[in-house]
Amino acid sequence: MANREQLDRLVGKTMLDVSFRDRLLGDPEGAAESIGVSLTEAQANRIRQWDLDVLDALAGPFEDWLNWLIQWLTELFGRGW
Amino acid sequence: MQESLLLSDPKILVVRASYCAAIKRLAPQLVNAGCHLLDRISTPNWTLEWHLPRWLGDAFGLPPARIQALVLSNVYGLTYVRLQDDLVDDEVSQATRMTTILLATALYHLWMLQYVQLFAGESPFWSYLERFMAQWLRATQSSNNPPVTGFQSYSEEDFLRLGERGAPLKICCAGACLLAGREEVIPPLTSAVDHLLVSAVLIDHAKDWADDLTAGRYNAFVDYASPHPQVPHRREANRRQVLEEICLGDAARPYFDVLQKHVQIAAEKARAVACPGLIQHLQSFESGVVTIRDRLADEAKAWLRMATEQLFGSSLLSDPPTIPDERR
Repeated sequence: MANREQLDRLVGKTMLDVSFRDRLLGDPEGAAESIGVSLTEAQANRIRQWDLDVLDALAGPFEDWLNWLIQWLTELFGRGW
Repeated sequence: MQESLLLSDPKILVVRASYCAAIKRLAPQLVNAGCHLLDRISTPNWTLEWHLPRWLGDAFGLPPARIQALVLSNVYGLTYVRLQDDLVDDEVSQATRMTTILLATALYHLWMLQYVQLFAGESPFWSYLERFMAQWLRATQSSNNPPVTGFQSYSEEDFLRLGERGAPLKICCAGACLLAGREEVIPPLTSAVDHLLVSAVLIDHAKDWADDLTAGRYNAFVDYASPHPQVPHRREANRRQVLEEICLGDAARPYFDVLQKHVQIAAEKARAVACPGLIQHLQSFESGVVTIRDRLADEAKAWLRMATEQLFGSSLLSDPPTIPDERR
């Protein structure tokens, strides 16, 4: 059974890598194994039910947010003032 | 808010007034551009450049008029360098090109005029100025040529070269030391500034990585995160490598560790100068770097956890129960 940390990694990969996302939706167990994550049947079934619109709604803002985060942190705390 | 802090410092306002008075004596078409330029270098990013000559002057006990002259010189120098960087980086429109070149020439003249009033012709100051300007020229000339090795194999020299476009900042350091009769601290002080500049450049590269990638400019943060060369057809792969490093890899911790190391070296070298303002700045800088490093990792992890919960639901997320040692 994939533990919490492994599922976080799987979700992160799904958010950032469109080709991985496509493979995961077609073959959850195989795609997850390719990054070292073993899914239970229930977890694989859940992935099969994922809504593409929901994934898109999460993935798009995620990239923007990551970039905003690093800009915000470096502006706020960089250079020591 | 930080900008208003810089602009509400009465000592800085005096220097700004001197700069504006000098600019207003130039040809009318240069006056607006000169004032606008002053505003561009009055943002929080330029706090070190505004304060360093004053911190040094105060630490060495220089008379206030001398300190003010050093700060004003530095402002002329920085505005000149800013315009040259704009020209080299192709950030000047055709319409303002002539004004930019003429204003840069006028600022260079004002800059040197300040130093001529402070240092005799035979002063070693001029050799230092020549050396630091040569570093800046070399760095500017090769600004689009990345180091030949990848970030993971950067030598000390590669890192120091990254900061060389800031070399003119060291001119006011040499000036302050010579005016105070403290020439012996020029080497440790300028070496401290070298390492501080490396850290500042590395911060800038982390902040600007996405813009640099889009514009096709070399970026050390991208270099750290991705094994691919920074060429147009690898842009998408590089972008994904950076994002994966932040949320699936080490969250750029090793990059910020390198940055912190350079701040620590700067602090170590700055001890020889006994300049409280600089030392405090370096301490604050290091603490900021640690905050960035830790929060980047924490925030990315927190976002992923939230997304995982949304996609899997809590029932599929429980880790298998661990068996206490005594029952094994």
